[in-house]
Amino acid sequence: MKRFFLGLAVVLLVPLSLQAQDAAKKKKADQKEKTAFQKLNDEYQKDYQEISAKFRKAKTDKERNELRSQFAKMSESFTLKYIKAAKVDPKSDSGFNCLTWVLQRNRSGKLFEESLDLLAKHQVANNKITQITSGLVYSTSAKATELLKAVVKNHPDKTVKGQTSIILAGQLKRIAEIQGNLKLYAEAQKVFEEAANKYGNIRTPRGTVAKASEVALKDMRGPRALGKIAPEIEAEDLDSENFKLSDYRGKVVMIDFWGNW
Amino acid sequence: MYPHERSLVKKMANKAFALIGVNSDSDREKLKPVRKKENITWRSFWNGKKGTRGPISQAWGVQGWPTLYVLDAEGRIRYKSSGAPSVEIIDGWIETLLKELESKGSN
Repeated sequence: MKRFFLGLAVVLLVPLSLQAQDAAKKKKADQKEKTAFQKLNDEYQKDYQEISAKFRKAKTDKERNELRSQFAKMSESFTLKYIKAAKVDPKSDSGFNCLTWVLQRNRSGKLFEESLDLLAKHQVANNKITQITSGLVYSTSAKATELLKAVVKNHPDKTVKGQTSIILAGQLKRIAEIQGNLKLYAEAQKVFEEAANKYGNIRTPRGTVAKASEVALKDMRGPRALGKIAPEIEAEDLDSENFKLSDYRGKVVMIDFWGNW
Repeated sequence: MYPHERSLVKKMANKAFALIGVNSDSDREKLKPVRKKENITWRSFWNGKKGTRGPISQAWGVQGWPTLYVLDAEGRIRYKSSGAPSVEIIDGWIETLLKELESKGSN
């Protein structure tokens, strides 16, 4: 009998105590200050909604253009606010989120570089860093290279290291090709090789690191690599007349692979 | 791309420079009015009926359009970009290679 009551008491008490815990948690969350990032988001949302509402009501192109430039200015001033907030506590999640906000809206320029710099100094081990680094393959910024190198070197997770090393190699390849820099092209090949050796079986969104590296290296060592004499093209033109690439030897030639779409 | 290419072709008309396209539209006939309207005077190879999967772009490993390759006067691949870079970058490539060619010619 005594045991039965005890059991009943436990059954009754458990949900009660859980409820009490939930209530306490809720109270705590309400009391907790919003992070700098959350506060800025609220502020941004408010301004954004205001301009959007005006835009919907706008009647002329002139009004709409005016609002567009207002929006651009607002975006710019918020970028500065987010960076300032990030600098207060660059190691925090709020700091990380602020810098992510900036990088989503700025693909180049001083503030883009500054954000990358802060991430490289304070957020290299963040487990969400691939959200940032995956987009950097298209950046030609040296700061982007620095951040990618720091993540490959210092991130605790092998998967992140592997995925980022492919991005780093791809970014170096792109810069080398745009700059016509053979030394950097060789360095990019080395990074692809190292990535395949150390992280070959790590999965990336496009197959394994080994596969991505193999495809890139084949291209970089093939007949159409930077520094090689271009192989002949002989084909019909758009009016069905045959011609050859080598007809233009002696001239600087830009080949544009294009399509009208 | 067209406006910059038009001005480039015009600006370089008297220089040792050629813009060569590799067109990946599967239908050449449909392009005729576009060429006229956009004043596309420069010559293009045709990538064939398979369009973006045609033989030239496949051989050159092209996966995105536009892709640019820039060759010096000896035919060597000196620059490349998948995706169009800025006008300044493109002009810089060509100027560098033309200068290089001039300095070789004067030696």
